[in-house]
Amino acid sequence: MNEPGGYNIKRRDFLRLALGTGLAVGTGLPVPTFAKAEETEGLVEDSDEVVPTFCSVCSGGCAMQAYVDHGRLVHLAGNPHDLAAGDPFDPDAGGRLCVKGYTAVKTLYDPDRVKYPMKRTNPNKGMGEDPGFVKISWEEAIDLAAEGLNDVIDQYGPESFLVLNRSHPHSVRLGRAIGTPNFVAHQSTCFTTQEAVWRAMVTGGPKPWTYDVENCRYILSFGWDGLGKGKNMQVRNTTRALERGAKLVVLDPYKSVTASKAHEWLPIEPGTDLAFCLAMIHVIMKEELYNRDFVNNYTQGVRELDDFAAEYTPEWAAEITGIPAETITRIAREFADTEPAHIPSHKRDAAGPNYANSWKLAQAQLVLNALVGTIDRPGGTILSRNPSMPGLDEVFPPPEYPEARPERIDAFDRDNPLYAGSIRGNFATLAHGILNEDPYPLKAALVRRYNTLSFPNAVKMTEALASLDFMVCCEIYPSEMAQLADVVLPEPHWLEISGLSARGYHSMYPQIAVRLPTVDSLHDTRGFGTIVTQLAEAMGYGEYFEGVSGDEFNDAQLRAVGTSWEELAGSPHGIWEDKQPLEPRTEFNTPSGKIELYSTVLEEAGFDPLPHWAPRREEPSDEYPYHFLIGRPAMHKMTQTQNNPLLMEVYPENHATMNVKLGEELGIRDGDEVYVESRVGRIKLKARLIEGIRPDCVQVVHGFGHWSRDLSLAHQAGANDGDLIPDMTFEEMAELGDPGVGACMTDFGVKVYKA
Amino acid sequence: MAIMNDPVMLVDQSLCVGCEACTTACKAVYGVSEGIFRTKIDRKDVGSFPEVNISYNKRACVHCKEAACVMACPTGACQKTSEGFTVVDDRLCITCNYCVANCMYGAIEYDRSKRTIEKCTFCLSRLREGLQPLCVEVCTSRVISFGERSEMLTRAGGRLEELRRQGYEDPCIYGEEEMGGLRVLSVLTEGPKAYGLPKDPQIPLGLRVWNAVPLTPAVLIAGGVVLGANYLHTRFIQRKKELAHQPDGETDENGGDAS
Repeated sequence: MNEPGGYNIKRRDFLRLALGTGLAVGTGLPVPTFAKAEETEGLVEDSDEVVPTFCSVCSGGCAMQAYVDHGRLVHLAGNPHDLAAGDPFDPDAGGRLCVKGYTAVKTLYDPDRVKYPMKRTNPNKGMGEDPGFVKISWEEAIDLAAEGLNDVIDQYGPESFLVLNRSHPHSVRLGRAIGTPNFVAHQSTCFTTQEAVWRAMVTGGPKPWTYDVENCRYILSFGWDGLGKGKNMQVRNTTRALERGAKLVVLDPYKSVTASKAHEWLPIEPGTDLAFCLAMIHVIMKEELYNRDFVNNYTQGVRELDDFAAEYTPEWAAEITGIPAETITRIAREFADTEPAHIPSHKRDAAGPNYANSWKLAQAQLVLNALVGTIDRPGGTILSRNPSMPGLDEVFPPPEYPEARPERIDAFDRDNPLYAGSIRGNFATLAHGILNEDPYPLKAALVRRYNTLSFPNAVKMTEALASLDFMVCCEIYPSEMAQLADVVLPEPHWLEISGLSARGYHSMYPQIAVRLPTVDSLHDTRGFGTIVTQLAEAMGYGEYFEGVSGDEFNDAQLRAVGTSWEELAGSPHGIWEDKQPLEPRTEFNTPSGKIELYSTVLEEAGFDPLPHWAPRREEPSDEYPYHFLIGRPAMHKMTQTQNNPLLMEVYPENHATMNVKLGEELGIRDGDEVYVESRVGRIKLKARLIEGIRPDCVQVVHGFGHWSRDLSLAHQAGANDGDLIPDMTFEEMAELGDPGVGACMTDFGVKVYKA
Repeated sequence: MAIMNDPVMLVDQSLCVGCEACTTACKAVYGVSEGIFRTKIDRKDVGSFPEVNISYNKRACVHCKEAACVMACPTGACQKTSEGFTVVDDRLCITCNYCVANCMYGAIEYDRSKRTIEKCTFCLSRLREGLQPLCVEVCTSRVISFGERSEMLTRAGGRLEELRRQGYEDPCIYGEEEMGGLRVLSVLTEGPKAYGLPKDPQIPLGLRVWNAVPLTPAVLIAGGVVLGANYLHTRFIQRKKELAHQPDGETDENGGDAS
């Protein structure tokens, strides 16, 4: 098969070799090594087996094919039959992953991973405090954790216990069994500004994450960086659209990757995108450019919208945004005249929880997309077509739960019927709740895979978590959160386990991907479901988990769609699907059954039914004169990837990125160490001077500034943007009147000076 | 398996998003040392705010037809395969770094830790098995394609037309003529300068002369004499230095000559 590595040297080459060797000897260079040439290198396809799995770096859930050779994972490839990673209609085109997916192999084999259960021996907690972790057995770990949590619950009541993780059916069940209302997750720093308006105006539920950008002819981005964040399906979609000749217009104070590929980049004044959108609505209504068929048949409230938009002229918006009225008018016309046109919005773009008016921006964007008829239509945002599978409670009904106190420690759903009883949460107010015991003491937490660095005012949040009497942390890494824990319970990496994914992003029709362990367990780890079940038993809540089995749950979920675990695990591609063409929805889950441009749901809940103009919360001031922006590179996923040697090689640290002119003004040169300071904190990092950013802005990429000494690569690389972001009191949160409870991640000014 | 006739890689730099998926996948599969790259994305910013142009260039060996590195190599380690790919045979390589210094694309690197020259092999072992180069298969934005030259040129031509239609004034194909024709063609939205690529690259005269030297036994003997003389001379000088530095019998602990 492979050619043997024989010598094939011509006479001339032999002479050159002789001369060269002579030269080498004469000058001290090494002589030829005569090592065997690697004729078979790069042939990952020669591996012993290909195991189906799916990616859990982000929530996209791209299906993967894992190449395993001699029990070692050597390469991950995209599954060509997957909607997210490939094209099921053309599997020969091959599957793809993103840079973070490919390099996940390095995280699996990271020598810094938590390898066994550990307990803390140093009672002092905090940044720079060595926890003095010692190895313990699983039995001791579970007993210790159960005892520590129960002590707190006995003393302070069930509400003193916090479940701090992305919602997981097992930990939700344990929390409900204990009787706490405190299930806090990260969404208010991520997408609730967008989700709230989608829920109210279109879906009655979550926000959809599928963008048929590929078939879009006019892509209008407000800070949406689908190309720069590097998400597999969005990169493919958007590049295909560009290839097919779509026009791309980007409004962003920073020249993102998407902006660098755009036909037009408008560096808009940060936090004013809403004014731009309102003026677009004005032009489209005034000139009657909207899609009559779609608007008449599938929306409600167009008359109210017409009256509403009258005052928002392009001239008015020009004053606020710094973009000429003619440009706004032209873009509004282009947007309405090019079919299909769409404003994609995914989490932390301008409509993410960045400014006090971001939720209104999300609302205005939704209105614009409805006016041009690209909601659940080709080229637009496609409503979820995920398969319908039963939840844990349907398969294993729990005994009755005790009643929990209604008030939460983060006040997330206070005066907000849209999120009443939700298991989402507010990272911005949690520190206030814990430190002020508002409305009661919270003294223990079960944490999973969240990092202190991700919170607004991360230093204060670290203090709050360090003040807890007892913390259990489930992690794969000795992260900053783990450093504050009393007991650390190691989980397997997702490449070591089984599971199912009903897919996150880009679900054009129902698909399910299966995950099988790619390699044997590398360390003494236990899955989160198992950990919670064992913890519940040890804490005295075993009855809630009686008969609960992960394997049976997976099988029951699959049987609901007409297959089984056995069938899917043995299937050639590891994918179940119900392939069908896109059938546009004609009814939506709102009181009127239509997309409500005038939102009766928001009105009922006490919020503005139309996106009336409101400015951001904090304009830059004399003391803090520059806008603060946060960036996210393709190579990193939040705080989870800074110990990955390959990713750190191509993206080793973050910077205070600013315009060359601002640098000159402040006497700062490229590479200088600088302080970036906000009203709550300051960070020290290197300056990076570029032209592709407004001269009144400073941008810091998220994910860096790890202080855990147990993360050998991540430790002290760059600085944490979270240290600059103000946290909130409950009153400050209430004043925003935001149905999406946005954390205002960039709604403040900063100053910069040489360190 | 035989490789297709005149295989070429087409990189559509106009759509490259600089995510480094190719960079990291290549490093992982080939076990390339830390800090060394067979392929790497270079970002280049041109202009000043707000007229800024940001471009990404996939820097890797383009397998020049007339390859400066092959001409510069004194041992024949850096050579052309029968299919026209530029490879370095580690068995013959003395890591003199002449290829590194002479590559006008900055695509050859010296790996000090392994004492080897690292460069893109066009995934020759994969090609010989009928597979595509790894970077083609992993590219998230799917902007690297692989096929026969004529097919790739047709594709590139279509892209140029589309880019012009989109308002790009001067899009171009890079690599059709350069260095006698490259095996890696690129679609650029504007001239090569904006991508950090050399415009109209030429083999330096010195290299042509060096390459034209007839390596007959007579020349080799003459060379040997010169080298031999140099060696003896160096030893002579060294001894004189050693003598000069050891009048008191002291030795330099650093083992070197401080002066």
